[in-house]
Formats: sequence, structure tokens, C-alpha cells
Amino acid sequence: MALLEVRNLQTYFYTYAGVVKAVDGVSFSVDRGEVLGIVGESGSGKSVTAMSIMRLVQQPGKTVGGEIIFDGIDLLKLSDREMNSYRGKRIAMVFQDPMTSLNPTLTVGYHMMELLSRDPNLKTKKQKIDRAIELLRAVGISEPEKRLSQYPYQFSGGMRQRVMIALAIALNPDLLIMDEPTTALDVTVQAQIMELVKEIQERYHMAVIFITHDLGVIAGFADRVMVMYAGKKVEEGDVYSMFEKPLHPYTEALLSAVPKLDMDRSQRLYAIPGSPPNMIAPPPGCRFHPRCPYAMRICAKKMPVAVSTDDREVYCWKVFKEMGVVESV
Amino acid sequence: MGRFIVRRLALMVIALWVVVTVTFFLAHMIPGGPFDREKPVPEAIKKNLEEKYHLNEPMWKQYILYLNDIIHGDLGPSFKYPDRTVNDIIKESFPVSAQLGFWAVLIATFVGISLGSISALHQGGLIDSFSMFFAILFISLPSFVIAPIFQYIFGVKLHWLPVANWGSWEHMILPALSLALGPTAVIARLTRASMLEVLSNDYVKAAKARGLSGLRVLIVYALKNALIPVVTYLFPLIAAIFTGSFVVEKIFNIPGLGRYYVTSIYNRDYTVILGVTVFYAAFLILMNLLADITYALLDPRIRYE
Ligand SMILES: Nc1ncnc2c1ncn2[C@@H]1O[C@H](COP(=O)(O)OP(=O)(O)O)[C@@H](O)[C@H]1O
Ligand SMILES: [Mg+2]
Repeated sequence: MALLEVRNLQTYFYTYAGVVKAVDGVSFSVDRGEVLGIVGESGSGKSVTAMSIMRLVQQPGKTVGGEIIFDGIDLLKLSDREMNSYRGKRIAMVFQDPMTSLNPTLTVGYHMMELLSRDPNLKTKKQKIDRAIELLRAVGISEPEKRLSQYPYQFSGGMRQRVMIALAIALNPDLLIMDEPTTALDVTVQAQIMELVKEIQERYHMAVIFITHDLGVIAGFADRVMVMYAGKKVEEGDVYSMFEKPLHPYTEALLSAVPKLDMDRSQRLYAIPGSPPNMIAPPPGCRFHPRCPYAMRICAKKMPVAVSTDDREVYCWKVFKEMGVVESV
Repeated sequence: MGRFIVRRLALMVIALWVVVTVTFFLAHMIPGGPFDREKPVPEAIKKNLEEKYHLNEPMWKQYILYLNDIIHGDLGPSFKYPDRTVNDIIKESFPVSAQLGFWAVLIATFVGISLGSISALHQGGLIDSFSMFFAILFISLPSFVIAPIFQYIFGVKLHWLPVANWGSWEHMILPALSLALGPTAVIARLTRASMLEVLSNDYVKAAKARGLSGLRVLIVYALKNALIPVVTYLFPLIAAIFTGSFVVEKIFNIPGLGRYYVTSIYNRDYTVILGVTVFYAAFLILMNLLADITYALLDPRIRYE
């Protein structure tokens, strides 16, 4: 059984302007020790998906439907208190902006000790301090003893993200959700943090959901990739086959937007034409059709149905047609 | 931190000196003298008096003499009440103002912070709308409007509390409330805004994601940080309430420092004007120092500057 199984998740925001279906019937699963990448342009519902799993969606948002089965238990059915015991301990999360993720008035050590006091194996203060030092060392922070008594502002962005990772793994969670953990960092620091994330994932054999808007970042990391567009899953599959042969036109467009090393300077970086859809009144049919170069008449009328092969799931009428499935609609 | 305080103390002395100097010359610019009466004082007596208080000396000499006295903690005699010194007057009346101010500040802080945080936590809810409506109302109503209304309702009509005067704790309620309402409203709004700002911070979201208890997130992550701007307002507020209660003291006939201050201006009682001003200034500057220190204690980024 999968560690996490999300079924038909629906999280909506009830704004004055109307209902934003930020996540609209998304299903996916993550096995133990597996790395799932979630990609999509900004606004496609990646963060809301993550926050829904954590059950931390803020007003005016609300998860109105679906199931989030974690280790056999539907998180959406737990009481607030029960859910809180999952956070940090079984499911941890690292956010996008390390500069603002730590309380500026508390030392890094305070953040760590506070969390470690929830570890029943650590009884004395000494044990907790030792564990905190061990964790900081594990994420590549030098002189951890000294660093513990320092405040967040004394750390660089990359170092703060390392602290956030140390906090995330402190209680040995089974699932680590990382929401664009490198987006706010410099390119060189990005690469270092990615190295660390990979190393940590391998060492602790954790399941990871890695969210990014950049397919290139997860190429060498994820086992599987799910592509989201306007609150829906459009394609999911094994990372190699997806990169080899993207099936959904949106995945294809995302891939051409990834800069390649062998790219000539004179070649312009490809940007997906058109703009993300209005989420209050999304286009009918396939939500990508107004921007899709292959759009057919049916695309504007009917939501695509799932086309599944052994390693792939795609929601696209063009693929549907090419796969030779009998045109029944 | 030590160096920080020493530097502030030095600045404080300079600020006080400026206040003394400016007030000294301003007070002497008030037309008329302290011994001008409807029935003129005989020339000889007036001359004697002026000699006694060095009023016959040139201005700069009076100034030097006064500075010297102040350095020795002596604010001089009162011209109006020859048997009492300015120090006596302050010693007698400041505790009254301070007592009144203490309760007012306590009410304002406690009610303001509670209302502000509850409003922020239930943003847009009934409590929020209700308390923010009253906040706006009381911010725009000065205490000299509130005080007579209170006197009329609770004193004259309902006979629940004394209309004026000083003595028992019952006498304290109406003036303390009149003084507290405006600051309560300001603190409530400040706390609410600050709390909303802090609650939207990533570190609050991240703390929740680590599974910390709701109470812990609320107090250690939200309230503690949200109170930083409130604290910076609180100390100047204490100074303002302790010292700025002239009107309320006058309305309720309370023998506080504020009342003496106002009277001393009518009487051209230079030394009292000067003494009380210097005292107020010292108090205000001290409160600002305390605000800075608390601010630094609450926010490490400032401490290490
Ligand atoms: N607090 C909110 N109020 C209204 N709409 C929101 C809110 N938070 C997110 N949304 C909407 O949800 C959609 C998905 O957002 P998000 O999951 O943050 O996208 P991303 O894929 O960039 O992480 C966006 O269209 C956004 O407008
Ligand atoms: Mg996001």
C-alpha cells in the first residue's frame, strides 16, 4: 500500500470575487521512500495541494472534498489534535522562503529544542542538545555548537534553509513535503541545497513530495512527476519517460522552457504563450486549450478523460485520439 | 546592551538640558511677573522678594543659578506658596497622578491587547467588528468629552460612583476609565494590526507545520512578536497618561501634578512651571529609554546593532 494516497482532492477558496477551485479533483500517491515531483506554473495549485495534505489551508480556503489516506488513515477525518500529532512527526514540510520561515526573535537552538522536546527518546536537555548538534551537522552547518545560540538573521538564506531541513527531519518523518525549497535562493546555493536534499533523502530513505515550477530542478531527483495546470493534474509518469517523451502539450511546453546546457546563447528561452487561466471562471473543457497549439474542437467542450498506459497517465484529447482509443465522444 | 544603555543615558542628559534651557527662557517670556497682583504689592516688598529669588539678576545669571540647583536635585521654591518647594509639590502630587495613571495604563494594556488579539484571531467576526467600531469611537473622543459624560451618567444619574474628588478607590474608577478609553482603543487597533501581520508570516505557518500546539504558536510565535510595536507605544503612553492627565485631574478635582501644573501657569509661578516641566521631561525621556531597552530585549536584531 502506498504511504500517501490522495483521492479526488478538492480545495476551494471562497473569495468575494467568486470560488477559486485551486485544487480541483486531484489524485496521486506516494510510496515509502519514493520521490514525487509536482510541477506546474505558478498558480497551478501546487502549494495548496501541499497545504491541504498538512491540513493548513487558511481562510477563505477549505478542503471540501476527497480523501488523504496517509499510512491507512484518512487525515481529513482526524480531529485537529490528532492531525497536529502527525505534523512534524510523520509529515514534515519545508517552505519556499527560508528568510521568513524562522521566528526572528528566537534562536535557532530554541527552534530545535522546542521541536525535539516532542521526541520521547530524548529525555535530558543534554540529549536534546546533542541531537540538535547532530542534526545541524547532518545538514552541513559548521560549528553547530556555536550556531545554536544564534538568531536567524545571523544566517544566510542557504544556511536558513539548511536549518529548515534540519527541523523537518528532526523527528524522522515518513513524508517530507518541500514546496519550492530552492526557488528563493541564488543559483549556486540552489545546487548545494539540492545536493543536500538528495543526500538526506537517500540516507533516511524518506518519501518526498518535491514541488517546483522548474522541471529541470527535479530531473535528477524525482522518481515520478505529476504536472498540474489550473488546479488539475494533466499528466503523471515516470521521470525518465516524461522527459523523453512528454505527452501532454503543457508538459511539452514546460520542458521547452527548461534552459539546456548545450543551448546556443542566441537561442531564446521558450516561454509558454498566453497567460494562466482565470481561476474563478476557468475555460470550459480542457483548461489548457486556449493556450494549446494542438487544440481541437472537443477540447473546448469536454474535460479530457484519463488516458493511462503502464507508466503514464495523461488528460488530453489529442493523446486520447493518437492512442487509437475509439472516438466515442 | 550595556553600551547601548550608557549611550542612551548620555543622550538623555543632553535632551534634558535642552528642555530646561528652552523652558527657562519661555517661562520668562510670559508677560507679567509672579508678584503682579490686582492690588499691587508695595515696591519695597516686591524688591525684597525679587532679590530673594534672584529675579533682579540678569537673565543669564538666573539661568546659571537655576542649572546649578537642578544638578543638585533642587527645583527651587514656589513663588506662590512660599512655604513649599517645588520638590515638595511634586512629592505630594505625583503619587496621586501616578496611582491614577497606573490603573489607567493597566486597564488600557490588558483590555487593549486582549481585544486586539481576539479581533485578529476572529478577523471579520462579530467581536472584531464590534470592538473595532468602539475603538474608532473612543480614539476620536477626547478624555475631556468622555469624563463629563461619565460623571453625568454614573455619578449624577445612577449615583453609582462619586462625581468628583479624591480619596477612596471608588473615586478612582471614573477618572481612570476616562483616561484609559482612548489608549485602550489605540492599543486594541495596534495589537490587531500587528497580530494580523504576524499571523500571515511564514514562520507562523512553518511553526504550525511542525505540529507545535496552537497555544504555543499563539503565544511564542504570534503574540510575542506582535507585541513589539505595542511595547514601543506603551512606554510613551505611560508617560503621556501619567503626565497628560491635567484635564481629567481638573475635571474630577484630583490633587495630582497636572492640576498644579495648570495652576502654576496662571500664577506665573516660574519655578513650578520649570520644575514640573523638567520633571515631566525626565519622566518622558526615561520612558523612552525603557521602551528602547524592552524593544531591544524583544527583538534580537536591534540588540546587536
Ligand atoms: N488565500 C487565497 N485566497 C484566494 N485564492 C488563493 C489563496 N491562496 C491561493 N489561492 C489561489 O489558489 C491557486 C493556486 O495557488 P498555489 O497553490 O499557491 O499555486 P502554486 O502552484 O504557485 O503553488 C491560485 O490561483 C491562487 O489564486
Ligand atoms: Mg506555490
